[in-house]
Amino acid sequence: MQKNISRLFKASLSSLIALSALTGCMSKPSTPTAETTPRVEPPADIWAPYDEEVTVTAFVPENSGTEFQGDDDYGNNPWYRAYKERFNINLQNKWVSNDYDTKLNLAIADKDLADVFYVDSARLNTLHEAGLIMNLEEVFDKYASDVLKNYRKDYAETWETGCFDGELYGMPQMSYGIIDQFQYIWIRQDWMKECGFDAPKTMDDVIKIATTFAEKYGGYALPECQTLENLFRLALSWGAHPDIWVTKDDGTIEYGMIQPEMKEALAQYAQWYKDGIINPNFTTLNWDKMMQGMINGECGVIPFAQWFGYNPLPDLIKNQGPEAIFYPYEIPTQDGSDILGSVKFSNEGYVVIRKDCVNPEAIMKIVNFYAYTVNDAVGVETNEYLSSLHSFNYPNCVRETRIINPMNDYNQYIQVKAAVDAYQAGEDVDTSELGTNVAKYESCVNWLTSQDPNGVGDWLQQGNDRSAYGIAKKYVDEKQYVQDAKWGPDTPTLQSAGSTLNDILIEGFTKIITGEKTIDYFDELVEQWKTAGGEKATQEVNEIYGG
Amino acid sequence: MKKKNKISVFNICLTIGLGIICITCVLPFVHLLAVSFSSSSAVAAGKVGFLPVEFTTASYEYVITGGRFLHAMGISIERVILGTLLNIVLMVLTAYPLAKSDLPGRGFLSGFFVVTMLIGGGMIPTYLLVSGLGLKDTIWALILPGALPVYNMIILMNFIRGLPHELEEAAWIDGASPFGTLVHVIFPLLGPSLATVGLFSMVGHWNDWFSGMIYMSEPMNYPLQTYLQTLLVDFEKLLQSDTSGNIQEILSKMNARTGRAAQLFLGALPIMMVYPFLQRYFTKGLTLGSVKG
Amino acid sequence: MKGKKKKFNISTLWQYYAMLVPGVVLTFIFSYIPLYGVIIAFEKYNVGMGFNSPWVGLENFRYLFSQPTFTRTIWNTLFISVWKLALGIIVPVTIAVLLNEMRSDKLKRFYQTLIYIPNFLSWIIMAGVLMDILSSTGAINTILAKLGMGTVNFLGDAKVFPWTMIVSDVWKGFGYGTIVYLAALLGIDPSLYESAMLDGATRWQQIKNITIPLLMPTIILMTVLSLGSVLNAGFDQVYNLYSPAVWETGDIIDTYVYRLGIQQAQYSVGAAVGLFKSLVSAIMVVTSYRLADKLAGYRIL
Repeated sequence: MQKNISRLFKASLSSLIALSALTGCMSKPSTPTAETTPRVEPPADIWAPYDEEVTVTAFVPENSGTEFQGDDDYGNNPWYRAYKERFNINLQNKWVSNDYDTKLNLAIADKDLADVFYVDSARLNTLHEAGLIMNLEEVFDKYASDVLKNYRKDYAETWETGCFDGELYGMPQMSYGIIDQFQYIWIRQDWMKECGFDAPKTMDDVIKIATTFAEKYGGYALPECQTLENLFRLALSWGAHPDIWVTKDDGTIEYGMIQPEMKEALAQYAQWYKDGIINPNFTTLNWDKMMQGMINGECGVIPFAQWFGYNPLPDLIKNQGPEAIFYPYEIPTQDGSDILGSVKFSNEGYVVIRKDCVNPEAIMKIVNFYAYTVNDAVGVETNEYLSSLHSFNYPNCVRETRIINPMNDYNQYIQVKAAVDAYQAGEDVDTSELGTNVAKYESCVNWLTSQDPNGVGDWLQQGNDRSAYGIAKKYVDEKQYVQDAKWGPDTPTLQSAGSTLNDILIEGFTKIITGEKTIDYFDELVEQWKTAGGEKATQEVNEIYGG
Repeated sequence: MKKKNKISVFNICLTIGLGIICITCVLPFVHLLAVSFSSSSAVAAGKVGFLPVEFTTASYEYVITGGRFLHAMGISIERVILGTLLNIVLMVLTAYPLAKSDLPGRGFLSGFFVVTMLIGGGMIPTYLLVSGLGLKDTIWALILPGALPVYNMIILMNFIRGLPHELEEAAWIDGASPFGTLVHVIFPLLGPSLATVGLFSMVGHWNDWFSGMIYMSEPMNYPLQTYLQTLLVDFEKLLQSDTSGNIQEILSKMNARTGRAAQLFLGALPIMMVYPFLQRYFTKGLTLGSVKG
Repeated sequence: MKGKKKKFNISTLWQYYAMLVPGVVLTFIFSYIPLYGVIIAFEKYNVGMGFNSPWVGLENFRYLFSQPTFTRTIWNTLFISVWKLALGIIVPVTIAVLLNEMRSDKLKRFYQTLIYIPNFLSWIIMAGVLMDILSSTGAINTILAKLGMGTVNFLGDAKVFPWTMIVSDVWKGFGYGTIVYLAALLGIDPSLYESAMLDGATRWQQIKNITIPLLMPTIILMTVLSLGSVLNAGFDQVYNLYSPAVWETGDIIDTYVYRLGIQQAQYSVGAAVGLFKSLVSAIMVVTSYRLADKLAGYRIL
C-alpha cells in the first residue's frame, strides 16, 4: 500500500507538470483583440458607413433572459451585424459578465477600459473625478441624431444629471416611462362576482371586500411581507408618498416616509393588524413566501404594481384556474379626492466613452441606431427586420449603448390596446403597423383565445378594458401624480448610507404595526432617522434639488 | 455475557440515534431533488414535499441546453484536478517541515503563514496582481492565488505531528534524506488526512464561482459554477429588460427556486460522485501493527 | 507531547527549507503583495484614482462607529458566533466519537457520507427549506403543537432568532468537523485500546482516557483556528433568513455593512470593517494560542 501511495505521489507530481504544460496550450487566452483601429475619418453624413472598418470595444452585462438563436451570441447578433453592414463598424466585447458592477470596478481599477460602456451615477462621478471619460459635447453636437438631440431637449432635467459644469459626460439611458410606476389594488374576479361586489370606492370598501373573502374562502384579508411594500403602496390613500421626497408648502423638501400622512396610514395599519386583517406572519415572510400564499388562494386582494399579471398571476392561474384572474383597481383616497401616484426619477444608466477613444463618433452612430429603430424606423424598415432586432430579448445585447424613449410604454399601450380592440371587434388587424410591439399584441390574443396563462401579464398590463396601463394613462395624461422632488441621483449622504436610513424606519414601523410600540413611537423614530444622517441628507437634497 | 448484551443495546441506541441525525441531513436534499423535478407553479404554491409534483425536466433542460454546460464542466474538471494536485503537493511540502517542532525558525515561518488567514488585501489589489502577471483568462488565475490553502495545511501539519516517530527515525538511521523520508515514509501514512484535506480542496475548487467570474473575459471560459451562477434568473431585472414579451415563457417553465435546485444538483452531482471513492480512505485507517512488523 | 529532541543532521537541514520554498514564495506573492490594499481603509477610495485616492485617516472608522446601530451588530455577531464556535466543536467531536464506537464499518461509512451532504447545499437554497420547516404551520411547529408545547416563532421572535441561527448552522456544518476528527481518530494506535481492554476498561473509560486526550490537540487547533473568524457570524445564512422584526438581535456586522451599500463601490468602508475584523481575529488567535500553550501545554503551531 505504501509503495502504491508513494508512486501516486510521484505520478501526481509528474502529471501536474505535464498537465500544466498541456493547459498552457489548451486555455489559450481568448481575450478579444482589444486594439482599436487608428483614427479613421468619419463620413460627413452621420448615417453613412466608414470607408474602412473601424473597431470599437464595449463592456457588456450578461442577461440570462436573452434567447440566442442559432450561432448568435453577445459578440455576434443582429445588432452587431447591423453595425457592420450599415456603418462598417466592428463592435467587439472586451468582456461580457453577469456581475457587471464588480467587473467594471475591477476594470476601472486596472485602467483597462473599453471604448464604450454604461455606468450608474456613483461611478459616473468616480470616472469623471479620475479623468477617465470623455467630454461628449463635441461629438454629441456633431454626430448625434435629431432623435437624440430631441431627447436631450425634451428630458433636459434627466440629461443634466449626466453633465458636469454643464458639459455632457454621460448620456442618460432614461427609462420606459413613468406609466409603469403606478400602484393599484388587485382584486380576484371570481370571488368578487360571487359575493356581488362592485369596484371599491373607499378604503372601507376595499377592507370589506378583503375581509368578506377571508371569511368566505379562508386565509387572511391583506397580505404583507417583511419589506412592508404593500403598506407603502396603500399609504398613497392618505396622501403619503413614502418612496419619494416631497415639497412642503413652504418650499422645503422633506422625505416622504416621515410625513404626518405616513403616521396616519401606519396607525390604521396597526389597527388592521390588531383586528387580524393583515397576514399575522408577515414579519418573517419574504416576497416569495408572501406570494406563495396568494398562489394558494389564501387571499383575494393585494395592493401591487402593474406587473402583477406577470408574476405571480400565471402561477396562481395554473393552481386556481383561469377564473381566478385578478383585475387592477384604483386605490381610493381617504377624502374621496383623486389619487395621486408617486413618480420617481428613473434612469437605466449613463453611456460613457473612454477618454482615449480615437473614434468616438463610431459610438455615436451605434447609439443613434438604437434610437432610430424605436422611432423613425417604424414604417421605413420592414417589420421582419425590426423584430429581428427586438425579438428574443435581443435588445439586452445593446444594454450599454441603448437610449430608451421614455414614451415607449405609453405609445406601446395605445398601439396594443387599439389592435386588441380591433381584434375583439372582429376587424382585420394589420400587425405590420405594430412594429416591435407585435409580441405584446399576440400574447393578449393568446390569452383571449386559449386562456394561455403566459399571456395574462400582457393582457392585464395593456389589453384588457380594465388594465394597469389603462388606469395609468389617465394618471399620466391628467398629471395625477407627485413627482419626486429629488429628481436625480442620490446625494453623498444617501449614497454612503445605503439602505440603512430606511432600515431604521422599516424596523420601527414593523414594531408599531405588530403593537410592540404605540403609534407615538413614530415621532421618536423620525428623530432617530434624523440623527443617523437623515437631517444631513435632507439638507443636501434641499441644496442640490431645492429652489 | 451480560456485558456483551449491554454493549449491543448501546450499539442499537447509537445506530438509531445517529441514524435519525443522518436522516435530518438528507431530507432537505431529497426535498430539493423533488423541487428540481417539479413544475414551477407547484413549487411557487409550496406544494412540493419529498416527491415531485407535476413531474418535469424543464429546469434541467434549460440549464443543460446550449452545449455550454459540458464545456464549462470540462473547465471545472481541469481546474479541480490541477488545483487539487497543486494544493496537495504544496500542503505536504509545507506541512512536513513545519511539523518538525525543533526546526530553527519554525515559529517565524508558521507565523508567516497564519498571518495570511487573518488579514487580506482585498479583491482589487489581488485582481491587479493577477492581471499584471498576465494570468487573466488562463486557468492559472483560478489556481495560483489559492495554491497553498493555509487552513488545511495547518490541519495536515497537525496530523503529521500525530504520526508515530519510530518509522521516521528508522529511516534516518538507514540514511534516508528528509526528501526521501517524506516521500517514502511520511506520505504513505497520510492516507486519511490527505483524503480529508484533499476533499476540502476539491470541493473548494469546484464550488468557487467568483474567481471564474472576475478573471475570465469570455463566458465561454467560465467554470461550471460560474456558468450556473449566470443562469439564476433575477426576476425584476428580467422584467425591466423585457421588450419583446417572451420572458414569460421561460419564467412559466421555471421559477428561481426550481432553477436553483436543478442548478444545485447539476453542480453538486459530479463532486458528490467523487466522495464515495475518497471515503475508502476515511475509514480504512492505518494498520499500524503491520507497518511495525 | 514531543518527548525527545531529535538532532537534525546539519548537512540535510537545507532540504527542509527547500521544501518550504514554493509555499513561501507563492504565499508571499499572492497573500503579502496585495496587502498594500489595506490602505484604502484610510482613504476616500475612488477606483479610478486607485491607491492614490485622498487620505482621510480614521474617518471611515469614525463613520462606521458613529452609525447608531453599528455597535449592536457587534454584540449580535459575538453572541451568535461564539455559540456557533462552541457548539461547532462539541457537536462534531461527540458525533465523531460516537461514529467511531459503531460496530459496523459499512454503516459507519454510510452515515459519514450522509452527514456531509448539507455542506453541499448553499445557504440561499437551505434558507428556503428552513423557512418552510420553521414556519408557524411547518413541520417542527406541528410536532411541538402535538406534544402540547405550543408553537415557537423561530424566525420572527427576536429572542429565539439567534438560537435558530446557531442551531441550524451547527446542524448544517457538523459533517465537516466530524470528518476532521474522524481522520484524527484513525491515527490513534489501536494497541492502546487493546491494552485498555485487557485492563478491563469500559467503553466510557476508554473514550475518557484515550480518545478524548488524543483528540485534544486537534480540538484545540480547530478552536484556535476558528477563533480567527469570531466576527464572521455567517453572512449568507443570516442574510437569507432575517427580517426587520429580528434586527434587534439578528443583525450582524456583515449584513449591516452590506446594507450600508458595499455594492455601491464603497470599498473604503468595507476595507475599514475588514481591518477591524482582522485586528479582533488576530487578538483572539494570539491570546487563545498563548492560553493553550500556558494552561494546557499544547503548542499547536
